[in-house]
Amino acid sequence: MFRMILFTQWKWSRLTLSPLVVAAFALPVFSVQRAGNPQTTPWEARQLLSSLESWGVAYPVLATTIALFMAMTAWSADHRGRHVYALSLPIPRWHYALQRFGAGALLLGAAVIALWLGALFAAGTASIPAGLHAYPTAIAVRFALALFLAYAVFFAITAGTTRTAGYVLAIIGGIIAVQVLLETAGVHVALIPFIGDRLILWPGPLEIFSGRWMLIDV
Amino acid sequence: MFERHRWAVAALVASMMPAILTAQDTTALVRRLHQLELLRHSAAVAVARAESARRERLDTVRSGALVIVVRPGEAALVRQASGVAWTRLDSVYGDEAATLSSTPMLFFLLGPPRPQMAHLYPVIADSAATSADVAFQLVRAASAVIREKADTLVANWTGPLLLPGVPAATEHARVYVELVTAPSVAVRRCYAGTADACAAALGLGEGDPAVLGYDAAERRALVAHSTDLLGRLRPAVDACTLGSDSACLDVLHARGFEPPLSTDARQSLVRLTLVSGGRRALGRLAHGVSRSLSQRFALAARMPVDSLILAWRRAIIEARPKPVTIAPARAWTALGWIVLMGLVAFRSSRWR
Repeated sequence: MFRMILFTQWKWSRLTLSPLVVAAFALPVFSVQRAGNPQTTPWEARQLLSSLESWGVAYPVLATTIALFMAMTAWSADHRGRHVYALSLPIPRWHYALQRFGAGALLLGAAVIALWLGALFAAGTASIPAGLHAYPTAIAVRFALALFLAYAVFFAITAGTTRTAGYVLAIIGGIIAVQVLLETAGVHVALIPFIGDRLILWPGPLEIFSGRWMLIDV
Repeated sequence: MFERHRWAVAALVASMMPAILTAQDTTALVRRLHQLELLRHSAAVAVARAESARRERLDTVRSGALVIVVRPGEAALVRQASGVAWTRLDSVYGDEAATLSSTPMLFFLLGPPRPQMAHLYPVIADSAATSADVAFQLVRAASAVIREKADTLVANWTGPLLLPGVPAATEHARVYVELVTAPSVAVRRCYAGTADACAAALGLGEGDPAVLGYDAAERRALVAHSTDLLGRLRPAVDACTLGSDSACLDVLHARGFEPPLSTDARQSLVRLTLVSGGRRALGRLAHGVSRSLSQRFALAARMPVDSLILAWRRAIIEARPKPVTIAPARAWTALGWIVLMGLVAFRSSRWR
């Protein structure tokens, strides 16, 4: 049964997933375009690091995009068919959801491997200035964790009812509204930065997305 | 006749000797300099007032030692900004910021014609400037004034304006990158922990900076990468690239060169010195003309220069930018959140 779920999810997602996997390979390769001279001065080394830092934003963005797409694809057919197929199966819901989750996660592995290969290729071909180091495996591991975390979050939201998604949106909208009202009333409470810090700073759930995503670094 | 005049001059000089000696007494000199400074300040303020009265009605805004002449319509904005600016200036420059009182500034916004006030240091802001923008312009102008008052050796060594409000972590992280990438034997030894090498890398070593900062191959590379060499140095440049180290040294001495570590690194050392040395630290650093730079740093920071430099190095090493690698605890935390989110999905009540 898992093979069938995997096959159908692959069929539904391959047209969009394939270019995203290519993008995952290309991202580290493009990010080291400035690394051409091993005799660089510190100023040029700093420019190289700045360039890599700019490219670094693309890693979490790509991870989020792929994860969102795969999570939505995993449930879209069930939502369209009003879950009749799933209800007709002689298995509990958690078992079905686990197989959907596993199939999506397995397909995400292709993006992780593509990024790792791209990073290894980029690190191998770039001329890295003395004192700097390449971290192809570390960036791939981090990308994998970010990808699976984002996938788990989106999968949990899309697995629920429309009402659940509505609750999530209402909570986000409510926080923004409260912040705006407080500011209007002259009460300077940094509610959004406070919540943002709790989410992206350790041990917050999205901590893996923060920090420097540098293929080459000190 | 000549002989008689010579004796007369000798007698005159001899009679003036006590007065000359008194004038050279340090305490008296300091007192007279202080009086002179007060007179200069009073004169500058009087000139500002006189010109103000003569040409256009202007207000004077004071905050700490900042004296700012401004149009009445802009006084409220400048008053608000000057408080912020003074706090920042005082926090970095300490007592040296008090010398700003002798340099009144003229603030005006872009657009209307500049007020007709000579002898005042101009501070210009955009017509749409906010209080924060004006505070920044005041800080820049005041920093420039303080830089001009420091002696040339320190000002040139420090480089651009030493501005308050630069985040130490960011500055130190930039210096860390230099510390691991600068093509200099002194920098590599500094990274390994040698205080003398750090001094050489910062341009504070006692001796020839070209020899202290770079080895022969690095000197040759330094000359080879220079694109602005003078024509008369061409033979020496050619000899240097062919392997003559003495020719490389001649070229470097003739055209000058920067220490291996940049002004970012040097400014970070100055900031640490000012923090360590207290409110009078900048005065000791910027005006100790008879001493070498390293002696002045030691005097300003109230500690041996080696200790100061090692403390600086420690701060830089501690500010190493966080690389992409993740600690196991963080990886496990991420995995924990993944499992938790998965469990939420499996427990959802879609068809229960």
